[in-house]
Amino acid sequence: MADHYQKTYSWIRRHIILVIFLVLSIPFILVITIVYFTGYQYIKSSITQQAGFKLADAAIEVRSELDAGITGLCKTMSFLSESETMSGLQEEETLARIFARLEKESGDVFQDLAVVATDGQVLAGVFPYGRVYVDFSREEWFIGSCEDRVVVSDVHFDSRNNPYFIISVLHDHCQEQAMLRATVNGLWLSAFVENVRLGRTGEAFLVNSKGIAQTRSRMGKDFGEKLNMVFLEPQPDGTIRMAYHEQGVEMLAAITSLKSNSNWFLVVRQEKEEAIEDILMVRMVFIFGVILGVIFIMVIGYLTSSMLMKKIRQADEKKCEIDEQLIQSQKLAAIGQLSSGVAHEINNPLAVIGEEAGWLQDLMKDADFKDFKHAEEFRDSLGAIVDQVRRCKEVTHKLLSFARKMDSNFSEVNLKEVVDEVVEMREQDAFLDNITIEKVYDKKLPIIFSEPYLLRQLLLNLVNNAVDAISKGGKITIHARMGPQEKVLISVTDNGFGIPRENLNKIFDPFFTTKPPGKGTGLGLSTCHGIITKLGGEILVDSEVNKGSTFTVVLPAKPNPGNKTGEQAAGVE
Amino acid sequence: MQDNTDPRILLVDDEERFRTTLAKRLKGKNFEVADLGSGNEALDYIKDNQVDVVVLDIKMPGMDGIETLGEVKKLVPGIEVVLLTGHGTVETAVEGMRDGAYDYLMKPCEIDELVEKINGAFAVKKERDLRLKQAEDRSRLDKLEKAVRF
Repeated sequence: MADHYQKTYSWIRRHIILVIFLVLSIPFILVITIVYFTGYQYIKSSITQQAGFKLADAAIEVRSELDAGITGLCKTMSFLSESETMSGLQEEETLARIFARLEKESGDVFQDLAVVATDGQVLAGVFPYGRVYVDFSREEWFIGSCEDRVVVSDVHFDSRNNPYFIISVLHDHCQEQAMLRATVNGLWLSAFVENVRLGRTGEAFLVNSKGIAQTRSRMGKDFGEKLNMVFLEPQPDGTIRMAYHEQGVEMLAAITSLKSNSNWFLVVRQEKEEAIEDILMVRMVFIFGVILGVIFIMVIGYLTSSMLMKKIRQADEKKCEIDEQLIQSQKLAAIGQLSSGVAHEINNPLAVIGEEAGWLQDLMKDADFKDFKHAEEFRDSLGAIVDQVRRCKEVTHKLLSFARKMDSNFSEVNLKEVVDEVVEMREQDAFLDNITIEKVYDKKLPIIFSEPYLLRQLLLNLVNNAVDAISKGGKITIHARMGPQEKVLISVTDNGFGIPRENLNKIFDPFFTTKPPGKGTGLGLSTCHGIITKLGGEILVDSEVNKGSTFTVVLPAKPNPGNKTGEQAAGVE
Repeated sequence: MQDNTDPRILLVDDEERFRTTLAKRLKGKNFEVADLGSGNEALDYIKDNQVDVVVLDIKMPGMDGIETLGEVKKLVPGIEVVLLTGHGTVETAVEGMRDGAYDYLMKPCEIDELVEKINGAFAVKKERDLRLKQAEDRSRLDKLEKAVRF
């Protein structure tokens, strides 16, 4: 019915959806933004901080191990140097003994041992690796040793590219000064850090203040590699925490200087992404929340718009229906007014014609006309005139009754009595055509408040139609029953030829008839419609061609106050 | 009083041709008929003439049928009235019957029906006149009786 509104509907629908989405989305986006920039970022920074602490803890642990190892070596050397005299140290045998003791105490760590004079000359030495030294005076460690008692050097490489570093201890015995110098295997140092494991990407290594790697690392750093590192101010616990990029990967690092060699820095670092893995969970929850929110908005938008559309559609349909009814009743009222006017005007001339013809008929009966040769023709003609006047009279009377206004004499009506009366009136005719009329009454049929004469006329019209719809041999069922909402239903069902679909909406129009001319005026059902409107009810049709029709009259059982006063007002006019 | 005479009819209708033709037909059926075109004329007529039944159209210009009916009944209560009506004024006709009309007919009407109604009305009038006469006779006799006794 409302198909031509489709465009408008989709327009309204689009707008509703748009508005709902906007209304829901704007706060949603706001909340998401706020949560992202406060909560999420806060969690992220605190997780980063935690990861930094973890790295710093690891750094401190490794540092203390390293310090302990290196200090241990230094102490052993100091102890040995103190326990010997200067001359004793210069003897090869004593030195070899000391070296043997050192090897025994600390494993395969020391590679060679030498005693060096303050001017840098080698006084004595044990060189199992075959390194030959002549003058140390220019070497870095030597310069340092002149100032400090114990010096640990950076890592160097020998001719075979083995990494090593030097520990030198100042021997200070009765004004005689010399240095005990030992070479330590770089691999020993590296072993401390190489085995540090921190997740998948975590590693530790040593680097000196110039940024040159002093050890290898798990992730592939090698001795002597130049690293591009920037050192920051240390934290109170002696560590530096920092984040930096290396080859495009963000790194999180904790850096601390060794106590045993302040020139060395221990770096413990990890890829930031791994270090703050926990944020992934938070991110997932966040994204999940956003997706859930979006789905929620879509569902709500869809449901709300569907519901609204349904309501609008229903309202429109109802309006269409009411409009149609209004048009129908206005049409009928207009036709009624017109036809009653015409009928009134035609009635008087008809009466005159009828009387004139009757008068002529009267005259024809006189004996004077016995010899008149056209007497028979005259009589026939006059008879036809009188018949046609009678036919016209029928039409005008029906027209007038269709349109007539009358005082509504509402009173208590026993439906059963009315139906019985009507059936009785037509039963004889129906019987002749071999039509049976069956009456079915509900046990609890109330006494209704209605207009008995109009009701009788209404039912009579319906029964007449039913009889006319059945040619010969059939059945008419009249069923009176209680309906929902205080309504009474009376249905008249026939098994006649039915009403074609295309005629269904015309049957209540005045003068619509399928009967041959002269047999029906086409006013029966329009009169019924007029009556049922007056009685405050409605009439329903259900028909199938060749199966029969059912006309159902729905009447209010109790008087409808609003309706009744309206009818009376119309009646008084 | 006038027992075996033909009924005297007064036909009142504004439609002249209808009135005159109907009058002719009724005369043909042995009624004494007078025909007039308005209520006022009818009232004047019954003041001077004996009428048994008035056939009165309801829809007339000037004084309408119902008013005329009231006046007629006031003037000569014994006259019976048959109303003629278009269909639209059936309720008015019924109202007229409450005011004392004998019956009504819908125009255009069959002559036989009209004759039947007129005869019915006339019979009622005759019967009432008869009872009236008997009552008058009785009262006269009563008076005589009293006069004889005293």
